[in-house]
Amino acid sequence: MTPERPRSALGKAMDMLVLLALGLAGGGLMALSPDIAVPLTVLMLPGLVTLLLDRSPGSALARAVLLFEGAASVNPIVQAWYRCSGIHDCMQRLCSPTLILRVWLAACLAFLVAQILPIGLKLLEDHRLRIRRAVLQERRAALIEEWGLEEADKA
Amino acid sequence: MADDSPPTKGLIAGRFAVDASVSLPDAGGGLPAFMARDRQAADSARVALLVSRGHSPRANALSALSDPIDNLMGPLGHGIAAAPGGKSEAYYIVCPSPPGPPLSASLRPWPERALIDHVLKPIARALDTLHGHGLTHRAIRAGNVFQGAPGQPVTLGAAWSAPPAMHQPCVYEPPYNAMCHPAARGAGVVGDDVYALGVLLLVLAAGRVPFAGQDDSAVIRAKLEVGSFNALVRDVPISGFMADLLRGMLAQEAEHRPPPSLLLDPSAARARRVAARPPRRSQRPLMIGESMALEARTLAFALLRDEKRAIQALRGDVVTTWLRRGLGDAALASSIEERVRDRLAEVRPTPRSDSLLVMRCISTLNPRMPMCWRGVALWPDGLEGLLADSVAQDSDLKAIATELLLNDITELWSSIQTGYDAYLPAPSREAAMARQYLQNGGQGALLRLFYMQNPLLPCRAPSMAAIWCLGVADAVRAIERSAASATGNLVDAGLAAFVAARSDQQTEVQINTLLGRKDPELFRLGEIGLLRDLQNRYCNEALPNLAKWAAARLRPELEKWRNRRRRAAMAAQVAKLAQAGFLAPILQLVTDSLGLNRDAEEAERAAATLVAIDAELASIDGDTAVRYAIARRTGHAMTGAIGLTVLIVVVILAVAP
Repeated sequence: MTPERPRSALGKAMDMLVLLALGLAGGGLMALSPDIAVPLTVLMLPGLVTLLLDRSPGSALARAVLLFEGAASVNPIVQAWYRCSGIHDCMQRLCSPTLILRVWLAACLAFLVAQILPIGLKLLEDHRLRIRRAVLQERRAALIEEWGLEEADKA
Repeated sequence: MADDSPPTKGLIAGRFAVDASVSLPDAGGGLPAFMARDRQAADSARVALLVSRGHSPRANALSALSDPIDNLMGPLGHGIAAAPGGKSEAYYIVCPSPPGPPLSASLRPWPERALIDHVLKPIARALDTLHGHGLTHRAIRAGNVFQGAPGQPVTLGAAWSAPPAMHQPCVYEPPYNAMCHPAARGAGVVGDDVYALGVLLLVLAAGRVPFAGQDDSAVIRAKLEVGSFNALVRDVPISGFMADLLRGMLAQEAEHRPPPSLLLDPSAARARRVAARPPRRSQRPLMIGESMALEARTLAFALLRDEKRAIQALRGDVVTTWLRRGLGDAALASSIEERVRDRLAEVRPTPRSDSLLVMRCISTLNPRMPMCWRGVALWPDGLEGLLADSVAQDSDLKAIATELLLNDITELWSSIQTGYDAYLPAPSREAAMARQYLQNGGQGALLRLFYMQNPLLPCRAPSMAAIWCLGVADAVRAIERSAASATGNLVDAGLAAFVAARSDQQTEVQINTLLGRKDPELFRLGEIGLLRDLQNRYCNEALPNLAKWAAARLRPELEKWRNRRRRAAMAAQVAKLAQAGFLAPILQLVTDSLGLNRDAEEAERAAATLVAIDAELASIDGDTAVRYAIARRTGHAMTGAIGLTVLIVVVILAVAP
């Protein structure tokens, strides 16, 4: 792992904006529909925690986790929106262990993908560079052989 | 018949074969002579006179004498043949065989009638014909006049293989010629031949040579003191007729002597008398060093002989005092005084100031004197002979010749010497250019002038010692021979001087430029360029040794080509061209500036490409952390993108009716 680069002022501002937007969205949802907002907070808890802990530029990891969790919780939220009333009913419908497990596994999957994909990309890039390096070295040897550039440099 | 065509080797003029193994010691008038055969004549015996490498034959006489002259061994041809020993080449002048031994072989008193009929008239006739060609003989002496049998007219020997009068004994020359350096006596005038003929008559009349055994200075001083006639005829019993005739022929001034045409009628010649004013004499002699002067003529001669003491005597007023009080010639003393005063008044005297003073004073004391410079006397048209002698002997005379040429002393002398303009030859344009080159301090300029003024003398480069190289084509062939073992420069200052002197103006300018180059690399290229042009212009034949030498010398130029494959191909092509033996294509190939520029541009591009490749390789090797960071960011972004995509799809499916 390489040390993270110090975050720029713009990056920090963007992070603040994301948090602010999420806060506003959460606050708005809480005001409009508190019976949906509370179980949704429980479902999104890993993403929110990640958002607080993520130091990557633009909180990319947290975004990915939240997006995966969002995708996993869209259908239950839509059903709960039409079928449950009251916070107790909604908590029963949305915070069942199965659903929580499914949504949190989606969060884990996002985290896993976010960890594995860079390694895969790095391996691919290394392979491409190995091929490029061989081509360059071959071209370099040809140039030196044809123009005697190494000797000229030494001279 | 004289040969105007370019000299050919082997047979001279295409008909004369020289047998250098058969020497004819008496036939050359003291000069080396050898047997020759005329392949086109029944009476084929001829004489070939050997030309010295250091003393030029008389080129003007060789070209002017196209028809045979009675009683004269005129030139029949001239050219190059094997030298005695057969290992090298020499230059010969072929003449008819002498009819018999020289008169010096058996000197005896001749009767007056025989002298007139068999000596005076035939030689006068020959001299008259020569005079008609604008030539003088200047080699009339007992050893160079031949007679087949008593009662037959004599034949005048050859005088063409050495500078005029160079081998004349002092006694046969007028004193003003005799005191000159032997190689610098100049062509003279017909009167000088008449003088020598007069001495010859006297020798034959007496049966002995006057002044035999005495040194040249004594002979000259005696002639100056009492006049040539009185000095020579002393103790010789001759008739009044002969005395009158010889008095005219031995007059001190050339214009007082009867011309050859007048000598054909000896009675008329005898009647011609020009009174010469006897010189004013002093009772008290003036000593200049070891020379004693009793009148102005011998004083001038004494000043010539010891320049150091002459300067002391002139600057110390010894000469003017003696002239005024001893000789009683106040006008002459004033003239000398004025010269000395001018010299002492010089603000910035040069190293030549004192010598100029002596020269001017000698001319003032005796206007008949030749040009006198640092103890050497010469006539201006003998300067080229002096130069040749100085170069041949490599003697101190070289400095004197250089000084004379550098400082226009001849012109200066001519301006103060009235009545001798005829002796001053008009320089050719090439000679003037060479002289200008000398005055500009050009390298090898003296040698160039030597070659220019002596067109029949060979190149003196050590590599051409065995051949008689006269032209540029021969020089190029000689260079071709020496190129087989040469590694360094082939064109040195001496060879450059020869080529510049014997080639056209374009080549001369090219050589001047070459010699002015200080950078060895530029000199090397210029040298090969010069040899290429010489091959093209003068010797259009294959010169493989020279081409191989040039190919080796052009290796640094070949190394300037950066592309190795191209360079190797060019080296192979150069080697192939070198075998063909022509320099031009080799030089053109190697120094192709357009190609070289293109090659350099390509090399620069290749270097830039290499730098870019190295930079890219370095980035590949060194940016692992950056690349991992990029991969991380990209991976996270892709994960986000996947999540967003799934989210959008799920939302669409969820809200879709």
